[in-house]
Amino acid sequence: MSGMMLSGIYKIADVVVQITSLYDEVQNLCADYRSDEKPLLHISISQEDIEAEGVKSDQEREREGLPEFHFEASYLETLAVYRKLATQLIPSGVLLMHGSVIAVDGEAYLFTALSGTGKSTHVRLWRELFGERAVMINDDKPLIRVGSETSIVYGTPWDGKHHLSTNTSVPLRAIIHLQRDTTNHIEPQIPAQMLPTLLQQTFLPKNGAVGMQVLSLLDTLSRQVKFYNLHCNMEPEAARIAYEGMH
Amino acid sequence: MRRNKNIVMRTVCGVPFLIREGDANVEMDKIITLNETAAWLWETMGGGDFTPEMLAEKLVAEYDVTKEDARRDVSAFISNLQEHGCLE
Repeated sequence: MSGMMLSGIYKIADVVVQITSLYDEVQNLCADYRSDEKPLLHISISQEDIEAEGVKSDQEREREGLPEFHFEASYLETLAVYRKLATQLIPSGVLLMHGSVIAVDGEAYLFTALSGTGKSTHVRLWRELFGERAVMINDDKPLIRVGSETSIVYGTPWDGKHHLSTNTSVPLRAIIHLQRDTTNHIEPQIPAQMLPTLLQQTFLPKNGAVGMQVLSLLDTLSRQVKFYNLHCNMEPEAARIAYEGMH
Repeated sequence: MRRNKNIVMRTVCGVPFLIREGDANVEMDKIITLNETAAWLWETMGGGDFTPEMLAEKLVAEYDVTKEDARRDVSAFISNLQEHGCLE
């Protein structure tokens, strides 16, 4: 650590935020989102935040049965920044949902599932099928602004290990729960069927008076987007069947 | 017995559940989701005192169940509520 604080201003999900960090990794990560507007939010990271993030990562890996892994402090800081940002965005009606988002013809589809199910693989099939009609919004942790009429999904710098994202926003058409199977089929879900998945995949701060806000945003979201359950294999036709099942 | 007045029923995505009122810091593992019958029982308890027997009788009147099944369902629901501090 250099002992110097680094700072940058970024516009993420239409909110201008100043990020003050100990390492430059998070500043580099956010480079595509630089802004010269006046920041509305200020996020500053301490050594304690980074250590707490390390503990959380260890616990998560243990819960998911993954082997222990030592993450660099600079990487843990990127997570700590996003945790603070996502927490502060909730009162403005913005949710962080774990999933891979692709837009086709200007409408976004969010695929969500447990890690390792193959979201990114399926979304890659969509890119191959739709070519220039498709825009990769975010491969891992998009933000959703829940409005009174429509919900908008945003690209963010936290875009997964292959760094697939675009600094843009698109109306969210559907949220699809993905399950690996030998054959491909898709069926609509009612919100109540989708709720356990939504609760599992939506960021909910442990400390903060915002839990009910998250639930109420999910309730609003469920009236604006369509839900589906997709069983799919990794063959190219999985993408075609998924798309056609939603049109 | 009676309902804990700090516990309220809310509905999200069509799913009824119980939550501690004013507890904005919701922890998902502390949310108690209810099925249709449980939600109906919670409503039926109202704000006043009740006994399991009273509830079982109302359940028989409302739903097509035997007295025996109603007593068993009410008893299971009440134990669940007590376990989560939803009754006083």
